[in-house]
Amino acid sequence: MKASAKKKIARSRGERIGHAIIYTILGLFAFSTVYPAWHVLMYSISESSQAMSGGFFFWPRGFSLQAYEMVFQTAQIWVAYRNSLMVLVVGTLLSVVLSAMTAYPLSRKRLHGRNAFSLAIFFTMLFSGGMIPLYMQVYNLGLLNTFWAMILPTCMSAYNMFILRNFMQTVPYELEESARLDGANDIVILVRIMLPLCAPSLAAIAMFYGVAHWNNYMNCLLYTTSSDLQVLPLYLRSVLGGAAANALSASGNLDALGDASQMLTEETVKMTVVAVSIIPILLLYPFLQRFYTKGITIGAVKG
Amino acid sequence: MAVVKSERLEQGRVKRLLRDVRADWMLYALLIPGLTYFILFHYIPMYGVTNAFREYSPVLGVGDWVGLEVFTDLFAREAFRRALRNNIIISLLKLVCGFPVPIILSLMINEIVNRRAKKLVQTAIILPNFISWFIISGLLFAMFNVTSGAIPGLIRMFDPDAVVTNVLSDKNSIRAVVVISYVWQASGMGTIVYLAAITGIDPQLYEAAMIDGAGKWKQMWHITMASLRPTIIVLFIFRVGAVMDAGFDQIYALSNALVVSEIDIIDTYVYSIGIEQAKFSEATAAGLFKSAIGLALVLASNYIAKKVDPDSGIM
Amino acid sequence: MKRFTTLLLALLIVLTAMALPALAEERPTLTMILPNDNSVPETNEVLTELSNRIGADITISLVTTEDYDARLNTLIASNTLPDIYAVNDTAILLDLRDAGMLLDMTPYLDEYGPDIVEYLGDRIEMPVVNEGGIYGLVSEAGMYPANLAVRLDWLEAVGMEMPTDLDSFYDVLYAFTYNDPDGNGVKDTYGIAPSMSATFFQHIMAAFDIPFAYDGTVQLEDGTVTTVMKHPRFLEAIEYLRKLYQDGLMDPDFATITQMQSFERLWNGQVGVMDFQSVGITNNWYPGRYTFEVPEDPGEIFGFTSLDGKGSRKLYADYTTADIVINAECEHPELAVALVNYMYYTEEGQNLTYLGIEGVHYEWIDQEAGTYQRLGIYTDDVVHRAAGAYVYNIFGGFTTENAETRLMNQTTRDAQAAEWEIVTDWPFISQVLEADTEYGTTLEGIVEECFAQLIVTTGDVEAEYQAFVERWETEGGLEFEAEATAAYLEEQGE
Repeated sequence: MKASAKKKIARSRGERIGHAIIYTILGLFAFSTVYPAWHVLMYSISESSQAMSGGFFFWPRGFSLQAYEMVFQTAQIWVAYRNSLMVLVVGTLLSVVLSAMTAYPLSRKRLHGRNAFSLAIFFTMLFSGGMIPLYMQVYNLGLLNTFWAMILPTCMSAYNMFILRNFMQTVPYELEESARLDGANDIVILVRIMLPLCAPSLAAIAMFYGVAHWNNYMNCLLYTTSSDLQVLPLYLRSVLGGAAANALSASGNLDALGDASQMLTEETVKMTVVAVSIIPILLLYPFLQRFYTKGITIGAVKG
Repeated sequence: MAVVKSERLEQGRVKRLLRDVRADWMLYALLIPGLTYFILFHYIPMYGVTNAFREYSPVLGVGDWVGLEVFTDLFAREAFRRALRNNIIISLLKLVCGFPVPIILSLMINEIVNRRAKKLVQTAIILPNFISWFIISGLLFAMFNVTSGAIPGLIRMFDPDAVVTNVLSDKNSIRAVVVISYVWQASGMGTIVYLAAITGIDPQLYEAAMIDGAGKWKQMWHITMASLRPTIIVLFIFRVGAVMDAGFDQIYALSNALVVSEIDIIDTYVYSIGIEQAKFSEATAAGLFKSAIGLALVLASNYIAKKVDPDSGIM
Repeated sequence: MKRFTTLLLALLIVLTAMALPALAEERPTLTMILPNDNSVPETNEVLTELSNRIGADITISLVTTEDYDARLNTLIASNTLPDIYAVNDTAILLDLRDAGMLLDMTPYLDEYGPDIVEYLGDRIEMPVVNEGGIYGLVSEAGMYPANLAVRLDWLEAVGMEMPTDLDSFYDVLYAFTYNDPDGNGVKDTYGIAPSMSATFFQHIMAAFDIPFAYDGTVQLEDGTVTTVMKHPRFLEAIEYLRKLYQDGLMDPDFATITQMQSFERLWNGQVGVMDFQSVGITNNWYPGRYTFEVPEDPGEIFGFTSLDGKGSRKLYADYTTADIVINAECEHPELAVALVNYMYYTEEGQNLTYLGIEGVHYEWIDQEAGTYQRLGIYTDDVVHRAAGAYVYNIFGGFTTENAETRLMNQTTRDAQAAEWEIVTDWPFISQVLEADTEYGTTLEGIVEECFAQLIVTTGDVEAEYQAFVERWETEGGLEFEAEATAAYLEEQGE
């Protein structure tokens, strides 16, 4: 009795020390990872002339929303934002659905040709024909200058599909079997059993897809010419490039800007642009995080 | 007699196959859209890899076959061999140092009891992924520059006469900077899959272990790590397949004339020769070479994984 | 029934009346893509005005400079090229011509491109693509040699004269570093803070007779045309720079900072000397950018000089590319030529595409002196560009005297004019060298590495230099040397 009590205390002390170490490491790591985003934000709302001296930004130096005004002033950014959001939502949905549809059959051991299919898909992760052949394919499919050209060519990633397949493989076979006895077919099993059980990994790949779709500008750059279809990253690239060109080019046509309040450096615009582009992803993440709440899914199905 | 028998066996197998396929028609139907995608956007354009073996110009289209000439030309260049050497060194360092970190981080995050703190850490560590390398390299410069950098300033505080160098322009330290900043930047995103896997572990397993008197360490090792193993193996094989991708954006942002000899990699090399003169064949050849190395490594690691545990591996 | 017929007739008349102007306005179309880092609505005031003046519906797509080549290659591969575009890659340019995809402008120039003909004269033959016809035009704008700018107030503060040779230059840099030129009692300044761009070293190198560029060439005494790295005085120049570096007169982070950061040191008052085009220093004159008080007139704070009277490297237009080519399949080649002629080679067209519509977007204060003001909401840069000004013509035209140069301030113009008088010439070759196409980038990289490495090395400078030269020679340099020497001799002989 005595001995076991002692052991319990000892263990919890050890755990406490362990926790202290873990918390410290994670705390420091989290600080180091938060800082750059914080830096970007603080720099973007600082006054350019004061921000220029560089160094670290724990607080804004002066306060100015001029760069945001500049970035949001043009009609084009709203067009770009709308397109990007549409690509994000439609693209991520389509990607996740497609991946789940492909991953499920490939996760069934009984499926004939499963290895051949997997290998064929895996092969595409290693080898690619390059930009121009892909362009020709998009062209031949008549997708040029359409909204779908920004989604379809990259609507699935073999990597994400395999991650999902791997999770599906770990779901106990008994669950499928009992459902089958209840008369469920494969699609019902996929939708009713697999997907709820795989919610955490679906959330994970949705995150990967979301980020990829949000940041993808190559599709837009190569397959569309209309500025009505421009996406945010591409627009921001041009803002950045334009700002850079101005700062050093001969007259840069900026000669009307004389007083300090009007002054904007390339760096400030760059920081603002980054801030503007990461906000939607940061909003998306906590939403997906809900699916990580431990234990809920498995417990629920097992009832 | 024997022939007839084997024929009959063959017929039986085909019959069984047909029966199975018919029974699983829904599974095959589910596969169709995904396979269509890979055929349309990956396999049909795949003919592009043949450009590594022939002359190519976007204007004139594909020209004569030149065999391995493009490859031998590439390898004849000292600059390419240097890029290849650097590429292998940096890739291996990144793999060895970078691969375990997300696993360790995930295990640590899993230990956080407070749910809010957990979410906070999870969100925090993925942030660097969204900050471009140009901004990160700017921040590194703010930390390490000789004149006003935070770190040299700190060193001078303790030793005013210390000779400080900028680690970003020092041949001896630049690879460490590349690897550490990579691990720091990419690990957060890497935890996502592991955390999802940990979430999927049946809590009853832990309860059972606790009843058996298993401590935290034992639980972590025998339950969490054991459950993560298939995920780790699969991610490792993928990682090995892409091992030759040493990070174009990062190297491009961190490179300068003083350190380029240590960190110029195949991608940056190809970019620099391609930017002035459109060297399609060279770029394709270099890419194909990287892919081939990746494929070989994947097959090897998959083979080993299967040897150790027949259920693991990706194929 | 009668009523119905009347109604129908009336309707027909109305419809015809509505359709007529539409038919009359049916204009030919011209499409164009430009490498350009701006983003504007597809239809805007300047483009509409330009379309009206040319008499065609003009569409201009802008593609970010960095991505332009990739975009162009896909357009070529799918044969969906616009009427007018630019080609940056020599091999592709020549392939396009040989494949008959480029329009020979010759028959249209006299009638539709008189200003092109008048401005270029014989130089129209210079671009490498113009063999057997006029297929491409090359911009001659933006050729600004570097000027050596020195802070006049700092010179006064440390009690020194404008430096004119290497020794006095060293003394001034020393005083700017250690004699507290900004009078704040803290040692927080440098003489120079260059980045790796070769522009920042022009006058120091010129003082050693080196027309400096990493891909630059010089002619040795035996007539060989070779890299600047093999110039007999190259190591001498390096020794001078090493001294600046070791004595702390130069920002020790020069290899890691960007051109922009180099400028920020100027704007922050951390540096007193800058070797760069005066258009970047004094013409981009935004007093608000400086963190200290600066006068309204840049000439009061920056003076320009040279070392031993030698100027920066002479600039030539890049004749291996084409800023304008016209698609052979263009339906209205005459209009395409007219458009190029108007927007890049006439003063009126340059003003329209650079400043906007006179009376709407800007008005002249004194057109002769190049002073103007922007009007109303167009004083805002973003609004001005959204209206289509500046974006289609960021260099103000393809001519050396264009909208951009006409609008420069006097200090800048004087400095540029003075520099052109003393520029250091080098063996310019107008043709394309095969060895350059094949090894050019690698060779350039070796020279840049050598330059940076030798300045900072603590090892044996001589030995390291020899190693770099050897590497240069074995990596294709010898081939380049032979080809360049032959080509130069041939071109000189002509």
